[in-house]
Amino acid sequence: MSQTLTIAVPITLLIVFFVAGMPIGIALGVAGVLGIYLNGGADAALGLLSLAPYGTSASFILTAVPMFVLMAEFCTRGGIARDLYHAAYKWMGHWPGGLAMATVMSSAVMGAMSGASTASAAAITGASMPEMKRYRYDPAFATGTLAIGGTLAIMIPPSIPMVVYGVLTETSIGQLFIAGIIPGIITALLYMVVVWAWVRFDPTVAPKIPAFSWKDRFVSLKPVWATVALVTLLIGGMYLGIFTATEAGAVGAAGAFIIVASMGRLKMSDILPALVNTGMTTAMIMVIVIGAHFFAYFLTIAGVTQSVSTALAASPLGPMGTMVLIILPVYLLLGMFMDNVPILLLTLPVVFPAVIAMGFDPIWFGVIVIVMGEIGLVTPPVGLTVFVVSSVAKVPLEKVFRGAIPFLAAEAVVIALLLAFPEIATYLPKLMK
Amino acid sequence: MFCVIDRACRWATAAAIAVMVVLVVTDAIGRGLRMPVAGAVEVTEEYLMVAIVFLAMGFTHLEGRHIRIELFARWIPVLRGAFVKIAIEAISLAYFALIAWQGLDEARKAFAIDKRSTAELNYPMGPAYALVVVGCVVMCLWLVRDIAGLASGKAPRRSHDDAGPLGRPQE
Repeated sequence: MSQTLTIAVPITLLIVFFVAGMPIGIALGVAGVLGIYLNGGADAALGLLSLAPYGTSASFILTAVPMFVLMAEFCTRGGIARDLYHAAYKWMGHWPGGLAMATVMSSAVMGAMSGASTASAAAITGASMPEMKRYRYDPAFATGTLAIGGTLAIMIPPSIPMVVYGVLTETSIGQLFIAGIIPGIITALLYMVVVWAWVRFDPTVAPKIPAFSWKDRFVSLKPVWATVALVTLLIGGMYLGIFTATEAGAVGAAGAFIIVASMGRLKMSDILPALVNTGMTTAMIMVIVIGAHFFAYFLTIAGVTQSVSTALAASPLGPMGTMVLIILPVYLLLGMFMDNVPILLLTLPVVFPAVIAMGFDPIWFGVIVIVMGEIGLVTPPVGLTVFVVSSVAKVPLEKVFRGAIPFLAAEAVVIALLLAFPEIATYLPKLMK
Repeated sequence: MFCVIDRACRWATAAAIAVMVVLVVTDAIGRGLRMPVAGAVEVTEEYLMVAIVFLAMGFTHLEGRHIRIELFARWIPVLRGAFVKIAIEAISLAYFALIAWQGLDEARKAFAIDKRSTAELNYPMGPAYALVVVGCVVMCLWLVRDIAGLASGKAPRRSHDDAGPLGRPQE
């Protein structure tokens, strides 16, 4: 078989498997093993099959995934999302578009307890949609805000895609988490600006609601202070080098368990489902990680990684031109069809060496691809947080997509700011101990 | 029989996660007090993480939680047909059977030479490698059942709707 065919066959098969609906991790694994067999022979394929599944899973750094997922499980099952929303609603509800701003604010804080956008979006939608319906908020506006708010979970630490990025690129996960703080806050503020502008342009989408008394506002903080303190402790602990990201995850899971249990919110019957659900999310991610390991190995031994990296690094467009005109559009396109973890696993082995060769900072690039991941979560035809919000809020998909699209203006501004001022992402990590 | 295997995997996964939390937190606190837990990092990665990934893989499949792109199946009716589904399950079966076969080889070698962890506790590694085999064999079992069901005209049951955390009620 010619060199071209030994590369084209596995890549074509991968696309066919994706289109046919094969689980992404298995599709990557099968195409990868076939590619290794065609390019390196049966011994290479069997050798990797015997070593890689165990070797890839037996990673202490990746244990951050189940730990942060478990923390989010306890927070969600303990009703922390509802408390956060009610607190934000009492402080901000009377502002123009206040319930939508409260949604963004509570999603940002929930993002600091959850590393997955879907979990965060589902939790906040359950809490906020009844209030927005009660005050006759426009369904597209309300659910669009919920979907975009959910995406903050992957930027504001902890973040499962950042753990995956860190493991794949051997970048410090603690530094990546800290790098996400300023862009996460800027993104949340810009979402609020979009809410404000939308309501100013069309006040009918968000009828005004009465203000709460100061007493009500302060009372609303009571059920959330412990969790917010826990999150501050974890982020502060990572920043000061007291915890590794994995330890922060475990401390967060244990802390969330203690907080919600002490509030009487966690029944014995909730504990096992939380643990089993955590296992499922971890297995789902790790099957993709293992499959991507095979596929990346195939791309390397077939010389694809080297060729693409060299071509990108030598592009006549220059580093910034290549980033803006080639790399970012590829992530945008992939984001329309796939979730961010598989995109990272599929692209980073090829793209990351070129990005480094072009002189970009690995932490900065991590933040950039996470912003692209946020965009992918709300862009049709496949937008995971849109699917979750549509299903929980029982609002048609088209309306949720329509409501989320205006917020992409905020994402465009964040990308532009990060391209113009990389320090937005790199300043805090540089100060870390 | 199927139900017992499913429940055992769910319990074992839950136990591994609970032990992981306790072990990592205890080690983090112990490290602060200059009394780290011996072998905590190694046990966590070499046994617990592997147990979580491979034992949960099967019931994650049963719950339909492995991510796939479903968009094209909505657009192209032929992709919703039994033939395509059987083909996908059969290829998946071959993939996990290969991993199980090679993993078995690795586990047998580890048992034969009594391979030990490099951690201070010097515990055996054979059972850790065997977890890969157990997980993949269970996954193969569910895939064979799905293929048999599809071939006889029944769609595989996914337990989103009717399962508790410990799996489906006894059938």
